[in-house]
Amino acid sequence: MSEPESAGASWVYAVIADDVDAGLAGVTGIDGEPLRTVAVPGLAAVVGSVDRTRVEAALSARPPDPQWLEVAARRHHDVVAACFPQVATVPFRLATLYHDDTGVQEALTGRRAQLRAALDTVAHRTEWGVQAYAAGSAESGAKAEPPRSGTEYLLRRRAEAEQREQARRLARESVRVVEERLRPLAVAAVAHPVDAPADLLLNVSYLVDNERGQEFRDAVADLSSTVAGLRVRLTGPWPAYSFVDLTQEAV
Amino acid sequence: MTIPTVINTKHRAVAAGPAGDRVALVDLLDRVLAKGVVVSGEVTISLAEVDLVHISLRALLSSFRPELFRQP
Repeated sequence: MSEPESAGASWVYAVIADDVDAGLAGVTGIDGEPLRTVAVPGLAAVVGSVDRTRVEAALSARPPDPQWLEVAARRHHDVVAACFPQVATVPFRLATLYHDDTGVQEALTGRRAQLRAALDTVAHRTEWGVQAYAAGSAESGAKAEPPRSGTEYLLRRRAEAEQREQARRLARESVRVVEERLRPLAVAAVAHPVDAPADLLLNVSYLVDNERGQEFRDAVADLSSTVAGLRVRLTGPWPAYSFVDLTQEAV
Repeated sequence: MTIPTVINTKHRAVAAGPAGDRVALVDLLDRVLAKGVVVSGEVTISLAEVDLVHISLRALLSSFRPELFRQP
């Protein structure tokens, strides 16, 4: 039985300006393929040719293959991250595919204004992720002697509940302090979902002018050591994934 | 106290560096699967389905690899 001919497709990683060098020589994409740019006036897509059949199958598999997804996500991001230090880079979400480069050009042309605006938004800026978790309560660490009576047991339980409520109030106040300190240092901020069971109380991406990057990181470090009841975590530098929603007004 | 900072270094360093330097997967998936420009590609699916794929990929992945999405 003959194998069906494997169809290629153009996978889009990111959009950059058409008159810059993203420095992608030697960088490969999700299929290990070499990269190229596909340009229209003012814009260029960073593209690789992938095996369409295999990629379609992997993306539509239910359940999905977590290993494929992880590898694809990392490789996609690695391409975006390779451009980002060199040139203004508008990251694409995973899995934007066209039949061929002509399709890519039509897509660029059809969204020219929004993509140009997105390039302006991201130029000379970096995304930083700031997360804050409720710090574990220190009091419950030391195990006292077992309670000697039911009354003592109930009193202890009430004291512990009050401590937890106090800790929650403290943490909420600290989250406010963090946000008020960081927001003015950024051009824009986007809140991501928080996760109650994991005690994730703050999950925000900030878009920061590169000139203020060190100031921003210093502020996070300072907050991390001074706010009570929170553990603060910084991630980045990221390409501006969270600030290129074409359906929103430009930042 | 130093903040645990996950630095996303240049492409080659990310690929070759020690595990501690690698971008944390959950932070990466939150961006690559749920952020970034969304446009309708020609291959595979219409725009509405593309959105569903992106949203459900993360949801499905979190159900099969929940450890990726817990507090680091």
